[in-house]
Amino acid sequence: MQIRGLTIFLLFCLTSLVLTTNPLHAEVGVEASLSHLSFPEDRMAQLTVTVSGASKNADIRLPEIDSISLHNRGQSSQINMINGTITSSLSHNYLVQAAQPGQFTIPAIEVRAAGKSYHTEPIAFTVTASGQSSNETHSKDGNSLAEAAFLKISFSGEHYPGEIVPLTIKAYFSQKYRFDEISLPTLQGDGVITPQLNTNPIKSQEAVNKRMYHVLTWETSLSGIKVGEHPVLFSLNASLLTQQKRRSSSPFGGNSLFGDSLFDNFFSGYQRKPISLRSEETVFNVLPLPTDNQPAGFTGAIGTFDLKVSASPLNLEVGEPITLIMEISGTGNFDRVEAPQFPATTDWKTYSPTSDFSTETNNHSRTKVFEQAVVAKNPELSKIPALAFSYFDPALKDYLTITSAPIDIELRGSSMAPPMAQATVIKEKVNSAIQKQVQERFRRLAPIRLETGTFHKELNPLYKKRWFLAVSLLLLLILITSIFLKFKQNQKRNNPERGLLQQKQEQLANDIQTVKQAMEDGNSRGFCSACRRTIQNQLGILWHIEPSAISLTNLESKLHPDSPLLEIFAIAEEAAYGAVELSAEKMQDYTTKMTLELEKLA
Amino acid sequence: MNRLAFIVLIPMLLLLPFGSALQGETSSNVETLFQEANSTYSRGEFSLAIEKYNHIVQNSGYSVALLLNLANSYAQTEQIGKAVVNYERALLLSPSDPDISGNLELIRKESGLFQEERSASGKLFHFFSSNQWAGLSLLSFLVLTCFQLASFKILFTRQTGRVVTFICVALLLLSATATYVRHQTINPSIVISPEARLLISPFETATSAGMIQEGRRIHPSKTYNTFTYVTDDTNRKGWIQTAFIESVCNPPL
Repeated sequence: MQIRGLTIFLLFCLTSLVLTTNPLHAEVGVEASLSHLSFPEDRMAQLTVTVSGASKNADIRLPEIDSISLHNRGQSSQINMINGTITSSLSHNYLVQAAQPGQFTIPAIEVRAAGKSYHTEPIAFTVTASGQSSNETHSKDGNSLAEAAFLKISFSGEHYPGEIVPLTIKAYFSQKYRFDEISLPTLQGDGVITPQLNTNPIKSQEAVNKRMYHVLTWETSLSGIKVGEHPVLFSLNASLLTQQKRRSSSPFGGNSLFGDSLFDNFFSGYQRKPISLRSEETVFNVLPLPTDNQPAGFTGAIGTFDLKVSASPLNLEVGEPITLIMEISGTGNFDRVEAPQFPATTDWKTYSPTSDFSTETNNHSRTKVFEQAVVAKNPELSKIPALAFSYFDPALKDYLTITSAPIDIELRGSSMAPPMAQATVIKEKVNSAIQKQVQERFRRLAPIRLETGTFHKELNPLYKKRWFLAVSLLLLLILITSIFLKFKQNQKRNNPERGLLQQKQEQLANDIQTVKQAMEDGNSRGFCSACRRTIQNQLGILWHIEPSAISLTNLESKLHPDSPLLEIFAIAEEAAYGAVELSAEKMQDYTTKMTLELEKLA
Repeated sequence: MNRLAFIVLIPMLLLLPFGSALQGETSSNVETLFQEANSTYSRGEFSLAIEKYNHIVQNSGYSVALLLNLANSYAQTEQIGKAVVNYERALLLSPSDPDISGNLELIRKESGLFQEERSASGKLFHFFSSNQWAGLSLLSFLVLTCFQLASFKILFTRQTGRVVTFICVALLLLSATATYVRHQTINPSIVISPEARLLISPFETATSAGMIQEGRRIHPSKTYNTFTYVTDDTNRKGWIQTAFIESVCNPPL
């Protein structure tokens, strides 16, 4: 019973609330907004016309705009209750599509609601060319690109030739964009060198001007190689990935399933735009090293160093080698750090030091360890002398010399040996020790050969030897000749008519020569015979008949009746069996006619 | 049968005179001195052995055994650079000798002279020595020429002609390319001094561009006074004192 009463009370309250706060009576307002005020031709913007405080019967009259199409994408409604006052709004969505780039304006849109006419404010917008990004993507805009990615380097002050100057290179990439194909920074500038950069830089995130960036950091160093002011900058290449949004083609309008931006991520591709980042140009000033107060043992080391010297064994016999360990640690140009000079005295025999280099620690500190064998020659010695190392400190701008403390040793035993014999023993002992070490290292070498083998006067490679070049040249000539001959042979085989023509021409030339000779001699009989033979030879080749078998009958059957060859051949046949006398003019006439006719037939 | 004899005999006849040209001659004196040097080596007197082996080189030239023994002697006296030079020279004469390449490998490993990893094409071009590539190019050239000559006498099928020509030309191109590539690094030098360093200018007081290890292979390109401009296998460049390096090919006798 109580529950029923409570339900009736709640229904009453709700009904009262609805009746007392009818939004129909609220004031009507219209507003138009565009999602992007600048967008490329191949994309669209969303136009939203919001009608508040009106019924659902608002009538929106869209304007006609040249080169602009408006596609209805449905409507959405919203009801707000603030302090008991209920307001409702209805948003009508349209996609704005441009047919060409340019500046456009959506004029005031007329909305008829509650029997009245309302107008929105005009909206101006820009459509850029296809493929160009709008201002919002910033990829074209130089300033925005500079904010999207940039490069910073850090060093300062004045330096000296060979000094190792720590350098930090930081590449910033905005988290709003995607980048790939990021190259290593490269140094641009003369007079300075930098070691090869690590291909795995430190990755971190930093906020710069309230923007979050992915940061790649390279810790490296710069070193000036000559005195002067050297402008230095670093550059880096990368690709900026800009997403290509899909153009909505839903036939159903409204917010279709594939109109969601989520699907843009899946189905649209990325466009790669190469970008080049350059740090600000900074002057790397390299000063000459001061020549005043330069220590004698200075080898070019610049930086901050420390020296530690130890020796073992400390209790030994005269002649036994002592191993000196000299550790030089610190920061600087270790390639110019050399072992401290052991004082040259007759009391000590020294050997060349060897060096070993430790890896770099976090603070660029390194250690170079020198190992040197020394042998005490004088039994009265009680200390290994102090060793000194000199370097130039760029912070103090002065040369410093570090000196180790002398090391106490205790020599015993063979002080009775005479000096010369003692020196020999020492030398032998040291040599023997070194030799044993070396033999141990190289004991796996293949043994020496016992036969001399063939001797060679020179070590030139084969292709530099004369005989090799001569044979190659000879082979080349033979090859070229044989290829040429082969070519000619093939040509002849593939084109027999060409050979025939050549044969005819040669035959004709010879025969005409004979005819002319007979004509010059005034020999009518010889002339006629030569003409007959000439005609037979040419026509024999042409008709593929044995030349001597060609008769006047053949000519009459195969040549035109007006052919001068018929007349000449008939005269020639006649001359073969009887006397025929031809004048010089006639012979000349026959020769000309015959030559022309045969050439024509050929 | 006649065809086969024709194809096989022509290359052999052409190569015959050159085979004998490769033969050298040894004298009994050289043999005696060589045995003496070997005895000295066996007694552990490596410096003396080096002197004797070098004496033979000066007077009689190079042989594989002589260079191997000399290189072993240098290795035993820890003259790594000199040892590497002589192993490299021995490899020029006998590229496939496992003793030489094994010793060279060992000495490089023991001295920390690690080689750069070669690319695929680099591995192909280094599959044979430069002499072997040159020999292969000459052989393919010879076969191609003989085949062309034989085709005047013998009628080969078109397919045979194409296959033989293709194989010969392909081999010729490959071996000629390999020879050219090897030529670019054919005349290396070796750092023979532990004090060698690369300098950025050809002066003793010039700034150092870094140490260069004894035994490293370098490629000289030009000289200035007593300095040579070199590039090492890791593509580092710089000037080095000419006295600190020694050429593998054509050393001064």
